[in-house]
Formats: sequence, structure tokens, C-alpha cells
Amino acid sequence: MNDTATAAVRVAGLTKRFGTGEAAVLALRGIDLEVRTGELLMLVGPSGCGKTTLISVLAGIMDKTDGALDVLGVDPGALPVNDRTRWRGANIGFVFQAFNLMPALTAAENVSIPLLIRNVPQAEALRRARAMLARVELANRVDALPAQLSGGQQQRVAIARALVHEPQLVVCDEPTSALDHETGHHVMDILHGMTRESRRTLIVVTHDARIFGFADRIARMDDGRVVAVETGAGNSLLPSPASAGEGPGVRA
Amino acid sequence: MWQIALKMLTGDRLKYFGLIAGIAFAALLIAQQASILAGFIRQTGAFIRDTAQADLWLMDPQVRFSQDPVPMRDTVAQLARGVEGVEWAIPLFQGYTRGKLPDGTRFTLILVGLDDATLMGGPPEMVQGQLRDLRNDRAVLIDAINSPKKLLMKQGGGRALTVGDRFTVNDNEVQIVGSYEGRRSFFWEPVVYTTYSRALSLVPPERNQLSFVLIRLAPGADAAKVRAALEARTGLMTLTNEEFIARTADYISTETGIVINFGMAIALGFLIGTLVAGQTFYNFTLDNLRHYGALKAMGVTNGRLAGMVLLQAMVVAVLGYCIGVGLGAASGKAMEGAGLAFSMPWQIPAITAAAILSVSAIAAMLSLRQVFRLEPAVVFKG
Repeated sequence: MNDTATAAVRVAGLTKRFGTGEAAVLALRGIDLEVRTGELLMLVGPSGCGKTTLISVLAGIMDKTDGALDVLGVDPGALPVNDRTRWRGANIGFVFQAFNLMPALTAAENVSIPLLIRNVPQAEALRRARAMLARVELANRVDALPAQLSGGQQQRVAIARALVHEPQLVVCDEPTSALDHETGHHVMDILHGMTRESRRTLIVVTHDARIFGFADRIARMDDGRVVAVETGAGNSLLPSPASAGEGPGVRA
Repeated sequence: MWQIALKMLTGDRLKYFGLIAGIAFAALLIAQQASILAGFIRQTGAFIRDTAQADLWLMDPQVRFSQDPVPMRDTVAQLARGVEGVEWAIPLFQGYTRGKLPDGTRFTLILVGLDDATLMGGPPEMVQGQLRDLRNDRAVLIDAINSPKKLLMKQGGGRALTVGDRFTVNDNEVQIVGSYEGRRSFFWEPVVYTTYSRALSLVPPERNQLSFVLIRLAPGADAAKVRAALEARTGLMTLTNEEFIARTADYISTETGIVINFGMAIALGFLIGTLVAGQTFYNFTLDNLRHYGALKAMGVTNGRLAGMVLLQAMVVAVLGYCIGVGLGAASGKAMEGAGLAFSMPWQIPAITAAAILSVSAIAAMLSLRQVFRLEPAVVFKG
């Protein structure tokens, strides 16, 4: 089987319920989805449709309620809490809507965090962080604090932080929503290029239709369900664009 | 990760200094109030230390503290001299009595009568005159350090008595022939030295007037045996200098409200410090909750986060403690000049350190509950 066709994420009948009894809210109502290794999948849909809940469950930071879940070969929900936390640290990269950079740390120090979490010595972590910042075109801002960086620069720092420890799966929550069109496009260009060359799987939650062109596939969600999966303009991984909408794991 | 924890702590200078100030305030209150209490307690032994030329004090068993002598028969000193192992035993008079300054100001004084022949038990350091000047007619010695305040002629232009001046003790005129450097005492009244026989002539007569017998042990004598023999022969009690100091301190501590009063101040300092530091640290952690959430999402375990928060708390605690205790010691130095009681034995910084570390640990624990409860998914909320 072609490497690009193997599944990084496979979910079947995935549900997530918040609360109990009459106050219970079903945020995910039986999601079936497969995301291939090296693929860029965008999750789109109206606010409250369950996109962020879905990536939270996939990234192992929220427990599922029911259903089958396989992320990079494991069900994170089945791991003990500390093991799951370590698994996340080793395998998942995060890009947040609000960047979530530590205001007291320089760009290089922020990027080094995932390496320090994995006990890489500080000097080595900073060296690799600086190299990663150079790849996101911030070689001259390694010592800048987040407050000294523009929104686009902060998001590029966040991208460097998400990729510095070479995770297999990167999840992004509205990575361009706080940026203007040109900057958002540039940020996506960098993110897309870096994940593509290292064949990392990328799941992006977004409302920003202007970046849909980067997607290999676009999963449309509504009311806790994936209602459609479309082939994106950026598709270069799928064996045949024509079959993408009905390929493995694509069940709307 | 400890570098990140420290950077998080010091990143917001205002909050960082606020945290340290809260802890420093608590440490200052605890250390300063405890040191003032210790100073007062220490000062209760001033008279005994000033008179500490003997090995033992012989006294009535009912004596509760140094300024509370129970009169004994004058023959006790002679009985003591007959005990094997006693090199010398001399009488000492000590008692409260009344005096009047030349301007008419009345005051209470502690009159001390030294053995006429040896003048043993006198003040350790003379400032003006000689101890032997006490043999002059009507001679007394006054405290050069404390007299300016305690022997002040309020109706005579505010002048303090000095060497050469005269005043009366129970209407008997005495003359100041010298001054000594006395330790600051818990007991406010001025201590005036004279000879034993003159002291007895200055105070109203009583059947028994001997206050204490000061005893020096012969070289090589077995102190325990000598004490047992003295007590058996006289039916009285012997105490070493340190035992007498401790007995006095115990009495003042337990029978006056001083410990309760200062204890309340110390407890209040601890409580206020705990609340200030706890609230500030709790707020600091809450302000950083989003970042802890991001760290959790990125793979930092609860245990490691706990280590980070505890490290932050301990850094603040150590810095706040050093500043607080340093300020406390400095204020003590300043108070020394003003004549206030202040003593900071090693136990006070040690107890303060334990209290401050506890306060900080409690604050960290309370904050950690929020961190542990935190769902890492909070990071996805824009």
C-alpha cells in the first residue's frame, strides 16, 4: 500500500457528550473519518458544529464518549493520563488560534518548549528552535518576545513550536483567523510547505474560506456530524483526485 | 522546564515583586514580633547577668523571678560558708523601694546592696568612678545607660541625675559617686547599687532582710554535691545563673500577658502573610492558567506542572523570606539605638523560614488544584 494512502487517523462512530441527563449536549454524533498520512485535512462548518471538539479528541486532550478511535496506531483515550500526556508530547503538534505563546519567553525559548518537555538539553533545544525559526523566516527575531512580534510572526513562531519536535500529527485551530488575508496566506504557505516536505499529517479547523485552497480534502461538519468530504485544490497526495471524495474514510 | 517556570514567574515584574512583597511582609511581621518578644524575655535576665560573678545563687524556694526575693535570715551566708566545696559565700540585698529626686520627682528604684567587705556582685563595667567608691559615705552607683531616662528631674528642667548629684531613698540622702554600664532590663525601675549595710539602713527594717547569697565553688568541687549539701544545710534552693535566668524568663512568660500579646501579633502576621501571599500567588497561577493548559496540551504531566508551580512558590518564598528577615534584623538594629528590646537568636529565622515555606507551600497547593482540574482543551478556546 502506498505510504500516502495509510491512515494516520481513523475514527468510526465517534461520539462526545458533555454533561449528563437532560442537560447533556451531544457535541459529536457518530463521526466516521479517516485522515491519511501526509494529508492536509480541513474541518469546516458553522460555529458550535463540533470541529474543535473533534480535534481535541483526536489530539488526546479530551476523552471520547463512544466509538472507535485510532490516532497514529493508538487510542489515546485508552492510555493512562500521564502516558497519554507523554504520547501527545511526542506525537502531536498544536497551533492555536490565540497563538498561546508564553509572553515572558523569547521566540526561541517558546519554540524550544516541546523539546524541553521531552528532556532535550536546553542548549540543544535552543539550537534546534533557532534553526526551526529560520525555516519559518524568523531567523532575525529569535530573541524577540511575543509582544514584540506581529500577529503573523507570532503564528509563525507557534508553527515552529508545533513542528520542532517532529510530530506525526499537527492539529491547528483557526490558525489564520487572527491574521489579515495576506499574512494568513503566508502563514498557511509555510505550514503547508513544512508539513508536506516531512509528510506530516495536518488537520486544520478553519472558517477562513480563503485558505481552503491549501487543503487536500475538506470535511464539512454540521451539528456534530461530518456531512460532506470534498477534495481540495491542494490535493497532491491522493491516488486519484476523482476518487478522493469517496475514498477510504470518506463517509459523509 | 524549571527555566520556563522561572521565566513565567519573573515575566510580569509587577506581579513578581507583589508576590515577593507579600511574603516579605509576612516574614518581617513574624521575625520582628518574635524578636521583640525574645528581646523582652532576654532582658528579664539582665540583673542576673550583671551580677554573674558567682557560680550559684542561694535563695528561698518561693522566689519566682530575680526581682522577687523572699527575705532570709542573715545567718544563711555563714551557714553556706561552712559547706565543703564553697570558696566564698556573700550576702546580696535586692529590693524595690522609693526615692525622691532633688526637684521633688518621686520614683521607684531597685536597690542592690553589695557585700561591704568584697563588693562582689557589683556591676561588671564602670563608666565613671570606681566600685570601691561605694565605701564613701552615703555612696551609691547609678546606671549610666538608663539613668538619663529613669532619673530625670521632670520638674527641674528635665535634667538627668549625674555623678555628684544627691537624692533621697526613703528620706535618707545618698550621693552618686559613680555610674556603671548596665544591661537593658525588662524591669523598668533604675537599679541603684550601694553596700549591703547601707542598703539595710535605707529601707524600712524587717526581721529578715537578706535577699540572696552568692556562692563561688572551690576549684575542683563537685557542683552537684555542693548544691545538695547547701540545700540540705540551709533548707533553701540553689540555682546556677542560667537556671535563675530561665526561671525568671519562665515566670514572666507564663504569668504576664506578654507571650499572648506578642503571640497574637505573630499569629496575625502569619495569617495576614498567608492571605496576602496565598491570594497573590493564587491569582498569579490563575492568570497563567491558559499557559499551563497549553503546556498540558503539549505534553507536560500534572506532576511536572506541580514541580513548576512549587518551584515558583519556593523561589518567591526564599526571596521574600530573605528580604523580610533582613528588614526585621535591620529594624532591630535601629531599635537597639532607641533602647527597645530586640533579640534574634537563630531559632527565630529558622521558625520564620518554616512558617514562610509553609505559607508558600499552602498557596502553591491551593493554586495547583486549579492547574490539576484544568482541561487542556481550554487552549482551543479562542
